[in-house]
Formats: sequence, structure tokens, C-alpha cells
Amino acid sequence: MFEHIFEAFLLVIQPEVLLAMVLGTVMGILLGALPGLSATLGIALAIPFSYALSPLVALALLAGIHNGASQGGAFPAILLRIPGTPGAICTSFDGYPLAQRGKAGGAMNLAAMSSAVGGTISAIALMLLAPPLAQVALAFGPPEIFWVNIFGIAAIAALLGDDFLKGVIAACFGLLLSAIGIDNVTGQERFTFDLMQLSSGIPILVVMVGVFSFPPAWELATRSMNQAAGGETFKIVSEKIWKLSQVWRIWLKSSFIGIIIGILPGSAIGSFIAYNEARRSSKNPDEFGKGSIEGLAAAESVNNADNAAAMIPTLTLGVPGSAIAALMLGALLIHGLQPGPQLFRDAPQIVFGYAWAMLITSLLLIPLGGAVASRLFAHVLRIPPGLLLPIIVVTAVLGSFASQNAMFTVYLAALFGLIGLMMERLNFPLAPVIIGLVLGAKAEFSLRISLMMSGGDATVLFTRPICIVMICLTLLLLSIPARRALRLYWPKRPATTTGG
Amino acid sequence: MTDTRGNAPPGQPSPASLRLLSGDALAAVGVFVFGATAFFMTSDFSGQTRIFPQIVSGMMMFCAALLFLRTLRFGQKPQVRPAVNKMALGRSIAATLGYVALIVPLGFLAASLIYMPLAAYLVGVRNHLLIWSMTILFVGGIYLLFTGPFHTPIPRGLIFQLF
Repeated sequence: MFEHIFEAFLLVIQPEVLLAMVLGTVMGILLGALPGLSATLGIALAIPFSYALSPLVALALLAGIHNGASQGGAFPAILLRIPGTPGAICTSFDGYPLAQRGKAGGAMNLAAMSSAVGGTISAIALMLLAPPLAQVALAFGPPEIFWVNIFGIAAIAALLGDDFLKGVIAACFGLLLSAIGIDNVTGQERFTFDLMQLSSGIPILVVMVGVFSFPPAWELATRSMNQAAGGETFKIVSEKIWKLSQVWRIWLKSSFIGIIIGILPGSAIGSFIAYNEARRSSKNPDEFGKGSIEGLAAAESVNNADNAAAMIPTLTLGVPGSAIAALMLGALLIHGLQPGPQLFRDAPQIVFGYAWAMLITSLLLIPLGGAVASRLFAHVLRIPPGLLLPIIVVTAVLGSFASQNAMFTVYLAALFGLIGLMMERLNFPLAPVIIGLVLGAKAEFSLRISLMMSGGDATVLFTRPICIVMICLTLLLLSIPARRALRLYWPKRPATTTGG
Repeated sequence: MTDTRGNAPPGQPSPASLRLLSGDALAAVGVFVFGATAFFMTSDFSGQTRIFPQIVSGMMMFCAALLFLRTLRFGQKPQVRPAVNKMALGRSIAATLGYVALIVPLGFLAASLIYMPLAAYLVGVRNHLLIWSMTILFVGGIYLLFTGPFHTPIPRGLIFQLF
């Protein structure tokens, strides 16, 4: 393992890979800094452009965008109390009060440093935890792979978003999309409507670009058009407002929380857990929400700590735990790499190269995300959102065209943009669609191979030990939203008073 | 007899019927129809080919029915989404669809040079210098990137192919 890690390091320090990491980190910070844009949008837009790049350069670019966008969300959170990304909500609790006291520069320095530490620890966890897990996953046969995929889909449907039923419907929609095209086993066409372009299935990239790029762009148009998020002039003075002795425990604890939360599929509450834990264990809990150094350090370190960790189940089992992980899985597939335990055997330099890219881009946040650079990046808050709409649309259109050099894919992307917008307006989560689409073909293939292996006997899916464990885990997972729904829709009746 | 469905004034829909027309109920009907269509289409597939889509579309119909029943019984959960400027949203979608339609006859370059400033003006941006400089720099940059280092052909347009 360690020789692969070393070989990958030598590949990652090649000039073109380093350049991709710097570019990706800058792009990510810019994206994260603009409220309404996100890492998901950035990665969805960047994947088509990465076609022309070698896999490692492409993954380095995407790693930079991922880490950069997670940190970039801190800029508007600190300066304007507008979290640029959902993960930056807790950052605004203490970052904004610090900025109000004239310590915006110091707060940004601390945010950048905390993000860098969280991201670095997470990348190390990816390097060390993924290979043993991949070894375990090598023992999985088709029935086990089927249940692992079902577990991944159920986790995203159950835990991501507020509504379990809508999550399952969205996942089913993705699974049905994955069934479009010529069946690999029988050669029969399914749901192609005699369109030749659909015979090879719906390209994952087109759905990604469609549902993750067009709706946020159109939503931007509904905001105050001519007004930038930050009309004021920001005065950012670089100063140190924290001591290492004050934050190192918080960094370690929050990073650990971020890694655990990141590995679990469908979790999006890491920053709140770490923030509450930091407050609980603090000597000055009353300062939280009023400009606490510890609060800001906790929020930002956990924010980046789940980035690389979320890739552990993606790379080892091929099961993405979040929308971004699903996009990364799609990116790997586009470059001809099949995520799963075999990837560690077939292309270890790619897996460990990606882990190194996550580590190096985390460290790049220190110079690129600190107060000195903040003075430059704060200007992007003055860009009117109305101007971002055509930029995103043009990029998305060209990206979807480049996926197959055909206008048909552009029409499909626009159609999925409309579907995505409708789903968002009706509060259906979008991530399960992508996860269903990505995992659907694999789940179906494993199911059919399992049935062929057993001569059509379906008990093979329910009797093997790992299958039983996966079924129990899936049921346990599904019980969480079921209990939540029961509490919501069948609340306890108030106790009736008797007598009197 | 008391109307248990709600006390609506005469001539106006009762709260219960309003609930039926809520987004979730309509979404549930739409999803059910979609799932049923997919389920029906699987009948043309041979044995093994139809197992997976049948299970999935069946599950989709079941969840849609549950969603509909839930909306009927408990109403729709209050939405936290802010109010939308529907005109602006409609304009931006229409401009995007128009742009996509124009790429084939005009080509990427010409269609983008028309679309980018038009979309910005449509949504209310009035900084002419910013709009035009951003348009030329962005479209030019992306065109050079694709035709140069990426070696990716981009749509030239039917009109320009005549010359």
C-alpha cells in the first residue's frame, strides 16, 4: 500500500496536476463565495471539461473545486451572514459577529486554516481507511453487491432531504432512467421510443449537468437581479485573532466528527454536530454565537473534514454517500474507471493520487483562502447574480454538447433541467436521482447475475451472511425516517386529565 | 348536517379540496401516471429484462399512492421556500430554451453572443460595460479553449456552413 501511496505522490507533483489543483481550488473558492452556487454545481459543470484531460489531472481539478467550494462558503458567511454553502451556516454564527467587530480578516484566516486542517486529516483518513475496506469488499459476490447498492440508494433516499417518500420516488426515477437503452444481457431495447440516441442509455453526465446546473441558474434570475450579494466595500485587515493552543483540540475533534459523518451515506449535519460538541465542551459556551474562536474553528474544520471521507464508500464499494460523491463517481466512470474494490488493484495510482490531491488542495486553502487572498475574492460578491445566469447556462450547454458532440444531449440536459426545477419546487431531493441512475445498472446486473447463478432461486439474495447483514442495515436505516414520519403524522395524544 | 371537510364560504372550494389541489397531491398523481406508464411499457419486454423496471415502477406507484393518501389525510407540510418571481423565472427559462434552439441554425458562437447579453438584460442587469465585456471575454475564452487545447468541435451553425 505504501509504495502505491509514494508512487501516486510522484505523479501528483507533476506540473500539470499541480496547476489543475491550483485552478480547481481558486474556481471552487469563487463558486463557494457566491451564494446560490455550490460545489455540486461547480463539479457538474467542470466534469464535461475534464474529458480532454488525463484522469489524474481531471480528478485533481475536481478535488480542488470540492475543497475550495467548501471553504469559499465562509466568505459571504463571515462578511454578510449569508452562508455561501449549506455547510457554512454554522460559520456565520461566529464569523459574522467577528467581522462586525472589525476582525473579518482574522476570521477568514482562522476559517482557511481550520478548513485546511479538516481537509488534510480527512485526506489522510481516505488514504489509510479505504484500502482495508476495499480488501473486505473484494469478498463480495453479486448478491452482496446487489444489497450494497440497495443500501446506498436507501441511505440517500432516507437520510437526504426532509421527506422519505419523495426521496424514494426520486431514487426510483433515477433507477428507471438507468434502465433506458439496450439491455446488456438480452440485447433488447427498453424505453428507447425508437430513438437511436437512447439505445446506449441516458448519459450520466447529461443528467448531472441538467439537474444540478440549470435549476440554480434559473433560480438566480428570481433574486434581486441587479443587486450583488455584497454592495458594500469590505475592509479586510489581516490579523491573527487566535492561538494554536486555543483551537487544536477543536480541530482534531471536529475533523474526527466530520470523517465519521462523511463516511456515513446521506449525512448532511456534520457542521451542526461539531458546533454543538464544541460548545458543550467549551469553557466559554456563552461566547458561541457572539464571535467565538472555537465555534468558528469547529464549523470550518468539520466542513472540509467530510469531503475526502465521503469518498471512502464511493471508492471502495462504488456507493456514493452524497450528491458530490455521486458526481465524482460519474467522473470516474466517464474516464473509464469503475469505482469499487478492483479500482485499488487496477489503478492504485488514481485512487491514492486523488487522495493526495484532496490533501494538497486542502493545504492550498491556507494561501488561497486566507485574509490576503480574501481581499481579492471579496470582489466576486459584487457580481450581479443576473450576470451569472447566462455564464452558467452557456457552460452547461457546451458541457452537455461536448459529452457526445451532439445537440441531442443538449436537448436532454435542458429537459432534465426543467425536471430538476420542477422537483426542487415540489421539494423532491435531486441527489437520489443521480445515485439511482449511477447505481441502477450495477444493482440490476448484480441481481440478474445472482439469479442466473442460483438457477432462478431468489433465496440466494437472502441467505448469505453478508446479505443478511446488509438487509438488516438497510431495514435499520429505513426505520429512521419511518419513526420520524410516525412522530410527525401521528403525534402522541395529550394526556387527558381525569377527575377534578 | 355539518360539513366535516371544512367551513368554506358558499361558492368557494373547501380546505379539503384545496388540499387535494396542493403540489404534493398533483405530484403524487403525476408520479403515479409516470410509474404506471413505465410498468405498462415493461409488458413488451421479455422475462428477465422486465423484472427490474417492473419492481422499480411498481415501487414508484406504491410510493406515489402513499404520498397522495398522506396529502389527503394530513394536508401538505408547510413549505419554507421563499416566494418566487415567476415572471423572472419564466423569462430565464424561455431565454435558455430559445438559446438552445438557436444553436443549430446560428452556431455556438453567434447564439451565445446574442443570448448572454439578452439574458442579462432580461433579468434586469443594466451595467452595459460589464455585460458586453463579460460576454466577449467569456464566449471568446470558452471558444478558444474548446477549439484549441480541448480539440473539441463546437456547433458551427447551418447558416455559416453555407459560406
